[in-house]
Amino acid sequence: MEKLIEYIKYFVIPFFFVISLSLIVVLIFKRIYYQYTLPYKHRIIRKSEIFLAEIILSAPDKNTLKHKIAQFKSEIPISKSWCKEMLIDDLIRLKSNLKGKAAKNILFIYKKLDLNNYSASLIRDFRKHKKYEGIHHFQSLCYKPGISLLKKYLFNPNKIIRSNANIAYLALTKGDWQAVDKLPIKISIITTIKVMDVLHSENIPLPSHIDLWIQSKNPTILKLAIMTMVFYNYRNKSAEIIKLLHHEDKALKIDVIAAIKHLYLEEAEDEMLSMFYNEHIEIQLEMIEALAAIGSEKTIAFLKTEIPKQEIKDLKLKMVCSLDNLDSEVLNTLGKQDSDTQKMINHNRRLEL
Amino acid sequence: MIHDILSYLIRGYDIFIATFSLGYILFYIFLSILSYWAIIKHLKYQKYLEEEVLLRSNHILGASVVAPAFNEGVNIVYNVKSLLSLTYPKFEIIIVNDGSTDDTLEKLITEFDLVKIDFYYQEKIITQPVRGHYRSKNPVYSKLLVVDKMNGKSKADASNAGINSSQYPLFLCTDVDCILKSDTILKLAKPFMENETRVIATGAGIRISNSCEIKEGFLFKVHYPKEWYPRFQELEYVRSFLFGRMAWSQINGLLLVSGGLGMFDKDIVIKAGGYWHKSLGEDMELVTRMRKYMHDTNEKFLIQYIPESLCWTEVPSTRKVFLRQRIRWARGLVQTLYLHRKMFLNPKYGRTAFLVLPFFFSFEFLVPIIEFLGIITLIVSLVFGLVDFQYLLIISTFVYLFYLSITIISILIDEILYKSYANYKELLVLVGMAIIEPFVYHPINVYASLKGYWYFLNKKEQRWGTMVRKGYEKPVKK
Repeated sequence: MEKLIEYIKYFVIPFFFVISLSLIVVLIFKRIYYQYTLPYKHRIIRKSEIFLAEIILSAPDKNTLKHKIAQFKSEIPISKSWCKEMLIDDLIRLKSNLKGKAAKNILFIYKKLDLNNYSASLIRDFRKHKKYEGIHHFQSLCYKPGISLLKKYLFNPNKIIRSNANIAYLALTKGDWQAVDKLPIKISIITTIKVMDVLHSENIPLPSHIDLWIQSKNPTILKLAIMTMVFYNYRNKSAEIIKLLHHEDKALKIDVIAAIKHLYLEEAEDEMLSMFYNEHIEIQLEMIEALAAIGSEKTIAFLKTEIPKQEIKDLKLKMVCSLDNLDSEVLNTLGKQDSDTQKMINHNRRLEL
Repeated sequence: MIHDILSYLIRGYDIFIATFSLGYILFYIFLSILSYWAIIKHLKYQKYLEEEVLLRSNHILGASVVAPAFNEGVNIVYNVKSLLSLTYPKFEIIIVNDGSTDDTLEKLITEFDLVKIDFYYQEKIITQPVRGHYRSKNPVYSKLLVVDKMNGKSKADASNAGINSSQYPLFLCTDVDCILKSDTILKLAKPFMENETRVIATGAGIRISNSCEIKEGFLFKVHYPKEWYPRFQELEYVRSFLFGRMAWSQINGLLLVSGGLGMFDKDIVIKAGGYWHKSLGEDMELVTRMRKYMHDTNEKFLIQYIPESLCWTEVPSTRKVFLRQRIRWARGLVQTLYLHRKMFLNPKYGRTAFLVLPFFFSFEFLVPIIEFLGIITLIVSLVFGLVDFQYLLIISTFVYLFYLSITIISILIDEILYKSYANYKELLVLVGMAIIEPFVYHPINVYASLKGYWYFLNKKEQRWGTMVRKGYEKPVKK
């Protein structure tokens, strides 16, 4: 015990004392340095913003542009990473708000400031998060010469690099789904959102292999196929879509039902009604919502019998909403017979004022 | 004879304390490493998905913001406007008027043009009766839903009524007086969509608004608090949110997602039974029960924490209100640990049983008791002349310096990441607070904890009490 106390006294206490004191000094001096350099950084940021806005909106000829860029480079600390990142962020922001010739100028400035090489160096960096950043630059600035570099990462073992590289590749090639079968087996909502965003923002044409995708065994490809079909309102493979109602993957099933609703695949009505009782409540809720869009007299008859005896309130409420959409008169009759149903009708009709 | 027995006892206590402290320190070093790792990981993952892409999407999960209000007439209009200004493509704001006796509801009705609607209310979680639901006739406020209910004497009951009335699969629970950053929903909802494993709750950092510049419910400039109690609490928040909770998040061991700011998977919350209205630490109790439910159903889950300050709230600035809050927290802790005692060391509950709960029991619940026993031991030792002053000084200095290092590391991380304070002078004050905290603030905390445990043992009637809010009627620099 005494040895331990001696050890604490002569080693541990001085160690923690030095650590605490050093941390305090670092903390305060770091802040003072930050405060000291802040006005300078603000000046550079302001200068860059003015330069970029002026040059992009005035659209000068190439020679003037080159001259102005060279002059601008000499006035800013372009070798510093923070400056490069600030410029790239500004360019991305401007790119997302501009179209036409002005947008093309952005790419020219990106190259002339040598920022494309900086983005490429980030992609080549051994740190993963730097790679994400570089890929993001290429995608956001539509830097097509970067395709060859991105290609190397389409099959990367890291799922985030793979996902980001694939999405960027898809955006830059305007629809080359090279690595579609290499997407992660379990596709997250985020990947779905990213793919849909690229489809939307880049005006990508309908993939030529879409008819093959719908026959894939991989649920990820199937999900992607369905989403894409919905996006392009592609109804040629309705039979295949309906067949997927029997797929064992629950998440995929929900997407299929949503697709049936959005594509108005009325021919799916019989199938869904026959399957309804054997399904999980989550699927049932989706089905009722889809039937509200595509349902015929058969659905009305089904809901008419089902509503009075349905005990799961969430499901009943959904059915009431659905029947209200299809035949409000029939629903009114049901409401008169049952006060609970009437309350649901009121809820549905008065919720949106 | 007595002297010998006492000498043995004190020696035994010394050994126990040495072992306990060593365990405590080693665990905190482990937590600091985890925390650092978690923060770095979070920062690196930022580019997985640009937040603007999420904002543009139709495929995101909807979220309901549930904010209970009891006698909040002074600020309610500004608070609701502040909440309505949040940015997210699919959300609603649910204000639960928990039987206020002031003009909270009247102000809401007048300001937001509300009318009573027929709302099919499903009591999935039992609450006090709901008197009605209100929506605005003005489309500008279409995202607002007001639930008027009988007072349930607890925030838990009001939150449950809000959950029952919500339409989206996620809900964000907050206090109506909290000021949220505009992208709060987005930041908290993102982990639910990013992960393949089911995320059941997310939380983020809370900061203190007491001295911030606030105009009509909107935060203009962050300042370090000027009053003593909020100053210490700021320090505590920085340490606990950035340091402790990030570490627990990294090993999926979070037991507490703060009641002031937490997003939850509604389905799991309802299945777990919602907030328990009798709990005095309902946020911690709910998370414990959700963990239990997930273990019971053998479903993999994640509870994640984001190292960003997304919420600013007013904290007690007087000793009386502060003590009342801390006594309630202490009772909440012991109540939750007692309620879920069967989970301890039960193999069915995995790391919750073998790591999280034992940690909370040993290093959260036991510490105030051990400290109190330490003071008694010291007094007895002094009386009987058994004090080894050199030993006492060395150990105390060691513990103090260890605490100081951990606290300064937290402040440094916060400063590197967010630069929350206006200038270096505010940082100096914060460091000053860290230096005096163990002598000035910590004893009050220990006293509050012991009193809380005592009230729990005595089954003293639970009361929430009220904290008088300063209004935002005029633009103020508080």
